[in-house]
Amino acid sequence: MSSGDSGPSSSKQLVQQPAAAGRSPNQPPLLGAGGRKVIVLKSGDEEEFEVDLLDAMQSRTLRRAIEDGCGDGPMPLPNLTGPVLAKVVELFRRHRGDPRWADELQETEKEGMFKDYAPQKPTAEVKGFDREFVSVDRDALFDLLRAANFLEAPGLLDVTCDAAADAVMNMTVEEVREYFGLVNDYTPEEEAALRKQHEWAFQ
Amino acid sequence: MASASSPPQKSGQVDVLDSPLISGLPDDIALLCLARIPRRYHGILRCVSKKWKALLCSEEWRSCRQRHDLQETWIYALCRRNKRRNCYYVFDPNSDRRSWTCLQSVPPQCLKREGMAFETIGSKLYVLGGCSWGEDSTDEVYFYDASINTWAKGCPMPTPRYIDQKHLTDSKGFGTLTKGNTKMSLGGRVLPIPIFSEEGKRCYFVSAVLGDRLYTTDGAGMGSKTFQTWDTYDPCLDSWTSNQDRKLAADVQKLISLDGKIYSIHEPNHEFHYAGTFDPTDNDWEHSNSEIALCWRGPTVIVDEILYMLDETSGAKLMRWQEETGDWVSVGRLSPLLVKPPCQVVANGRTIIVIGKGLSTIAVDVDKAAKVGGMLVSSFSLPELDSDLSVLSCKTITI
Repeated sequence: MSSGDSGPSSSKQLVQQPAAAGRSPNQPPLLGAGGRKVIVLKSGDEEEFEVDLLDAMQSRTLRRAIEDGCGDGPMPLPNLTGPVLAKVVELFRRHRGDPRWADELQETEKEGMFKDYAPQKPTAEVKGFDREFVSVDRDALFDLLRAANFLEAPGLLDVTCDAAADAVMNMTVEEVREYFGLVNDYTPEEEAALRKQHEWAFQ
Repeated sequence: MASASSPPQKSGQVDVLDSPLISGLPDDIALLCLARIPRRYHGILRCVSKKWKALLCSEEWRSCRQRHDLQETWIYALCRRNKRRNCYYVFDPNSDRRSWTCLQSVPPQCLKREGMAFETIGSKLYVLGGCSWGEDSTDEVYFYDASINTWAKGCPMPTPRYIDQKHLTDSKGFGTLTKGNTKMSLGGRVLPIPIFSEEGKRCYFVSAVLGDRLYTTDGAGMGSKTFQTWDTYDPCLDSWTSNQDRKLAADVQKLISLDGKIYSIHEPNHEFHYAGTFDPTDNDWEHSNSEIALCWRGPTVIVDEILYMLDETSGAKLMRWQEETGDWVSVGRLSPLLVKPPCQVVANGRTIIVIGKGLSTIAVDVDKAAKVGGMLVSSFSLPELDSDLSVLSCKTITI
């Protein structure tokens, strides 16, 4: 995606570095306005979603693209489908100010642009939303996990990884294999020996 | 036990390594998901596939759980039943259903011996030396690896200087023992029967873990000797080194690992007590503040580099070592109704867990524990499990 917009100006190049180097005054023009700017994300199946620029910053991938100046037109995300992107955009909106990403963002920006985004503990409402958000079948959960991986969104990743871990708790060995689509590569003898060893885990 | 190390050599190996951890997910995301599964389910995860089993005992797994603050500490207790037989118990203090569970498949040698050292390094629990009726003290080392739930044998402790049975009494009635090819007089001491090698460190010796090294030296009452020696075990290399230093005094009652040093706490001589310190950076023993040696009285535990002692001389009183003033201050008393002495202590985060006779257990939060009538209020307690059990030592393993 970053290669799509060739010829970033030298000032934009500088922008990527202040986070690490601690010299921040140069802001990308796109973020300079400080108002409620929106960007448009386009899914692989050509659905378009408007998302608050600051909400989109929850994704490191989107943040890099915005800083590279890709945020002017619709931003194509070919490996995300419309329904997945719709859910993700909704989560970003609900996670505004979530410490899981806001901490990181506050460190990177020094101009107080995200001051309305002061980290706050997830409220009961947000937690309820998260629970609802991952009450989906396995395939849909995996879609969201892959989206979290692609977008590098810590909050989304946190919620979806927790859901995957919760799903297999209290499952039997066979159920875990089935859920994760794994083949049993133990010989019957090996498996019997291993199960005997871990007997107390199966009680 | 053998299955733990042998299988991934043959034909299927390439397939195992190439297949994803979870089909349809990148491995780093799969690891993030799996690492969140609580430790009590890890036994099930290991049975799912060879790749998962390998993952669960890998450094990658350990560091992922550490990085994301997912590590869990379990407590391991070495107990003796009716003074005859050992048993090993494990306890998950963070579980909703707290209870002690007996470890299975323990090597028989670790069940009968007494005077063994009991230490944990990383994911491993070490059981060293010991002796039993009908068996001289031994140099054997066994360990239990909690990341794979299996027991194995480690490198034996440095060559023990056995008492040479032939030379036990010479014509003058004096005992001799062979140390290498040197004979040493035992000075007419009455030898106990059975004979535990007096100059060896295989039975009733003391130990401590500092960093990733295990240190052992002779315990108190080990008789006259020219030098006190100590041995160091490196678990990565599974090897021992022996050292000696005139400055390490005899009659060590216990070793404590604190502030990057090892403190040797010595058996008090009349009213005089003594402590030494060992600094691994210069490999040297020094004298230390003697007041710290008052902790010879009871079991000790370290919480965030602060030393606590359970003084059981009259009731059970938790004391804290105050480095700045060089003295012990009282934290509070423990209710004798909840935990029966003699006790052992371990730490789980900022909580001290006191384990008494029969595995009666209480937890005291060092920051939050309120006092009612001078008694510390526990954050949880477990009743006695089995009155025949005496707790000899407790350690923790964090995975």
